[in-house]
Amino acid sequence: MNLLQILQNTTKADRILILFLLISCFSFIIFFNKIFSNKQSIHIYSEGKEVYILSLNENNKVDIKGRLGITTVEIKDKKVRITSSPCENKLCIKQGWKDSGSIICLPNNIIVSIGEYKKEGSGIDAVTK
Amino acid sequence: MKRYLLLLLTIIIFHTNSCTPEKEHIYKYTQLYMNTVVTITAVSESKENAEKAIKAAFNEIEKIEQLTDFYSDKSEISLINKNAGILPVKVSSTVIEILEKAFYISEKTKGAFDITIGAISSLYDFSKKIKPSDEEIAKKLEYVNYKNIIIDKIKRTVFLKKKGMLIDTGGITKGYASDKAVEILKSHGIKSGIVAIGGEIHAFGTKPDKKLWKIGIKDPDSNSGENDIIAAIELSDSSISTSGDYQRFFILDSKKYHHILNTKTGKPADSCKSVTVIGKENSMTDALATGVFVLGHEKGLKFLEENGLYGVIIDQENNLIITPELDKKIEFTSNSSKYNKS
Amino acid sequence: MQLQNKYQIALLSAFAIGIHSIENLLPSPIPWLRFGLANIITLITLYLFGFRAAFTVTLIRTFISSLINGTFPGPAYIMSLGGGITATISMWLIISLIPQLFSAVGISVIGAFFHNIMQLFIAYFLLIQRIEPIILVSPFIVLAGTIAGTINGIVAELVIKNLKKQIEPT
Repeated sequence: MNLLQILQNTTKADRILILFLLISCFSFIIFFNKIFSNKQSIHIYSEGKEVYILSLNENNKVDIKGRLGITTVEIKDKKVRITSSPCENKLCIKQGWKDSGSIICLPNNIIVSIGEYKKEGSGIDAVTK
Repeated sequence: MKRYLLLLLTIIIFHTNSCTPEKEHIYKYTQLYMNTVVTITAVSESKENAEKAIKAAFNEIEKIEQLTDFYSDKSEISLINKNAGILPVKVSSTVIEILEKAFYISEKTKGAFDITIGAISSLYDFSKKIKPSDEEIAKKLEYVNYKNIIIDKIKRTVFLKKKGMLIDTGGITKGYASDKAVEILKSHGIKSGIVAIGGEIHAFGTKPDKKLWKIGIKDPDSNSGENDIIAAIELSDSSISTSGDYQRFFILDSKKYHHILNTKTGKPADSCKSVTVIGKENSMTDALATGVFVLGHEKGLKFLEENGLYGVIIDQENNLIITPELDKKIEFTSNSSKYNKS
Repeated sequence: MQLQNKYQIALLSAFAIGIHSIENLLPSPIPWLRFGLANIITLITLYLFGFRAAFTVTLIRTFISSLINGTFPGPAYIMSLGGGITATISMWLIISLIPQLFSAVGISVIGAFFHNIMQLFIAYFLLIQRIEPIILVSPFIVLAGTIAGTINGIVAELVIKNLKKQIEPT
């Protein structure tokens, strides 16, 4: 009784089953990978509420109403910036293009965050800074 | 692929750490108050209750902000400042409580923490890169003395003895507000959570898996990630605060001017890069982090030890100093390797 | 006959526990992901002695092994037990309902598949309670299970054929 015989003794159903499972696993893996690699998203919060979820991969320009007025956010070439803001010191505009982290406009109460803002480092619940 | 490995890892971590099925969830909300990011985390079985509690806590923080905002004409603190040397001002019990706590820390730190520094700190503008001249500072130094704040607890009035005095409670209100927010959460039946107002953190209870809350300490030399940390520490029913020279500063003629002023000289305190203090109340740790920063790394460490507090100090020579009993609780990250641990 | 059956169950359980324990000693990249070698014993028992024997062996194996590994009565035990029972039942159902369709290799793969599914379920209810990571990780788990199941099945087939050879001539 050798290995070859065993393999020959497997039924058609065996082979179909194994093949089916392997193929479906692989296709699920590829499928999930596609979905989640595109998941790089921009979350925009105004006065604590999430008002927009945008894709970083699509060029876009949106106006968000904040505490003081309209803040304009531009997405281009997988980067994001604030182009206009009613705030006084315009610190948010000065930050320029960003491809990670977040841009916060305190006076207008707007958070533009790449990925979810809530997410923090590995297993860390809060950071004293 | 990395993502999957991470997921596998999270599953394993959950797998190895928790033993009982839990229906509790973590709810986390972020708002902007007090010129910073406020994040409230609450553990609850009901989303509704968590949201209600968190909303009430945010309201409390907003209320305290309105009472104490140094830059708003309508705040009680401005009212006190405007009437400096003129007459006592009737204020809310909240402001009385904050001022009493501030006074207590001033006494403890022998004036290293002093809210009357407002007279000088108002001369700096960190977004416009404006700093006062030495003469201007010297002129104002006489107005920096916490002993000239007269608090009448019975009449609920506050009086600043000298005209020209300015109190700025910015060094304690965030901590105080987080303590109050925790009280509000607790009164809504929340048994565990975190209130983080900027870097002022008050954690209570435990996570749904019964583990302690893990709090990171920011790397003062890192500008890249908001969450680049040098160490992490697990806490429950405690507060942790950090004062750092990186929080608000500008560079003029290749010299760094940051917002933590030495109460004796009126100039930025120059001994430390960052001071983290761990204690019970966040109003205390908030003020003490500033106080210890001003005291400097030597006196500061001694102060922490004498008062039974935990703390981490990074000085300008990149020495990382921790209070003796902390080494069992603290967990350093690879970022900390650039500092000399003694 | 009864007595001999008991001896056989004891012996098979001992084999299963031994294999299970040795497997636990082997370094694994992920503590969760095991080869499931003990399933070989379950499968052999199922073929040679029937469902009741296989079920008993599974119960004994998971219980004793968890005592040895110190996981009783934690989630690891519940996962091991749930997975073991589901695998045994699913393999038995397929063998008795459609006897000739699959060889031991196919049966082993089916057992591994249901074992994995059950463990993912238990992980969801007991540990994670978030469906997203479970769904994301499931194709990897099932893939590993299918490969391990195939190899286990081949080993089981070998053992079964050899044992039958030894039994039949006498």
